Amino acid sequence: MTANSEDRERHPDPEAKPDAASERAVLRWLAGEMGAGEARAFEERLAGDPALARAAEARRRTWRRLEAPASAPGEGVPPGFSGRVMAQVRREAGGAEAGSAETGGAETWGQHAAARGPLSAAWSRAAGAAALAGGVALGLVLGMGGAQVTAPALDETSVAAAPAVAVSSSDPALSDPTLSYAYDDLYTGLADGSARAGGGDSGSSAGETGGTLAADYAAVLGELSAGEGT
Amino acid sequence: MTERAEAAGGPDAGEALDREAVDRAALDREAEERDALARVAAGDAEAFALVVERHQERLLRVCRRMLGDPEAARDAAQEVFLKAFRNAGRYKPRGKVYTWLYRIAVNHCLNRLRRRRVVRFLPWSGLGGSGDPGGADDAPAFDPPGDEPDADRRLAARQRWRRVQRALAELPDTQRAVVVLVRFEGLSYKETAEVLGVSLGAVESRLFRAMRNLESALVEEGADR
Repeated sequence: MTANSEDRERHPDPEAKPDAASERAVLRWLAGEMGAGEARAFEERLAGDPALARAAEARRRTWRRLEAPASAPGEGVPPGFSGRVMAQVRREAGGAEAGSAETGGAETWGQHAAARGPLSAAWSRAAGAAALAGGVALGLVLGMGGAQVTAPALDETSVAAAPAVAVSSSDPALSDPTLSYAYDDLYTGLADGSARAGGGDSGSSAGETGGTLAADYAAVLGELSAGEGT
Repeated sequence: MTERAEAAGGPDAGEALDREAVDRAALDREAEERDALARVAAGDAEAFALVVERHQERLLRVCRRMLGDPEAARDAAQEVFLKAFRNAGRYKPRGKVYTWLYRIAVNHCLNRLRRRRVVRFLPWSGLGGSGDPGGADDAPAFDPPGDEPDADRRLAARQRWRRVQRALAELPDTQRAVVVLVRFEGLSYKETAEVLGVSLGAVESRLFRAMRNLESALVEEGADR
C-alpha cells in the first residue's frame, strides 16, 4: 500500500466519489454476500468514510425500491394455473384424460400459444379489447335510451369495472380457452369493480372509455396485421 | 449439534434447534422434489404436480419480472414447466431443483425477449392506466383507493412501483436477469452464476451496472424520493 492510499484510507475525502471496487462492495453488502465479519468491517469503514456512506445510502434506497408493494397488481398465481399446467403435462404424457375437471378437456393456454406462436397473446388481447369495446358501445346505447350506465371514471381502477358490460355468457370468445386467463382477470375485476362503479360519474367517462377502447382495438388489429405479414 | 445444544441448554439452544429444524425441512423438501423428478423421468407424469405446486409462484414471478407483462409471464411459466417436464430425466440431483427451474425460466425468457427484441407492451393504458410498460395496469383491479387513511400512501407506493417496473424494463436483458435473481429472488451470486451459466465476476459486474442504470432511471423519473 502506498503512502497516498494509506493517507486516503485514514482521511477519506468527503467529496470524492467511491471507486468501483468500493461500490461493488456496497452491493455485496446489500445483497448479503458478505460474511458476518466482513460485513462488520465494511460497516466500520462506512462510518469513517462519508463519501462511501453517501453512495451506500443512495444504493440502498434504490435497492429497497426494488420491492413490489404488497398490493402490486398481477402478482401471485392465477386461479387454476397448476391445473392447466398439469392438464398439458397429462396430454404430453399421453394420458387418456388429458383434460382435467379444471379445464373441462379444453386445450390449455400454453399449448394453444405454442401452436399459434407468439401472436396468441395478442389475439387474446385483441378479442378481449373487441369484447370490451363492444360492451362499452352497448352501454352507451343503453345510456342514451334511458338506462343507467354505470361505467366507471377513467382512472387506474376502471380497468376492472369496464368489463362489467362487456362479458356475456353468449360471447363465443368465452369458449376459447386461450382467453380464459383474460376472462379470469375480467371477472376478478368485475367483482372488484362493481362495488365502485355505481358511485362513479358515468356519461362522459363512458364516452372517453369507449373512444380509447376503440383506438386500442384498432392498435391491436394493426399490430396483428403487421405480425401476420411477417 | 442438536445434542450439544440440548446439553448446553444455553440461551442459543432453542434457536439452534429451530435453525436445524428449518434446515432439515428444507432438505426434506428438496429430497421430495428430486424424487418427484425421478418419478417423472420414469414415466409418472402425476408426480410432476408437486413440482408445479411448489414452484409456480416463483416461476411466475421471475417470468413477470423478466417479461414485464403478466399475460406473457403466465404463458412463459407454463412453457417453462412443460420444458422441465420433458427434461426431467436431465436434471442432475446434485443441484437444487429451484436453481434448475430458474435456469430454464430465465433462458426461456431471454430467448423470448431476443426473438422479439423488444418487450411488447400493448397499449392497455387506454383502458384507464397510466401507460405502464410493466403491465401493471392490465391486471385486475386491486386495492381500490378508498377512504381509509393509508389509501394515498398505497397509491403512491403503486406509482413508485410502476416507475421501478419501467426502469427494469429498460435494462438490458442480461442485467435484468441478474437483478431479478439476486434482488427479487434472493439468490446468492454463486447461485445466480449457476443459473445464468456465467462467472461470479460477471454476476457482480452486471449487477453493478444494472444498479447504476436503475439509479439514474429512477432519479430521472423522480422516483428517488
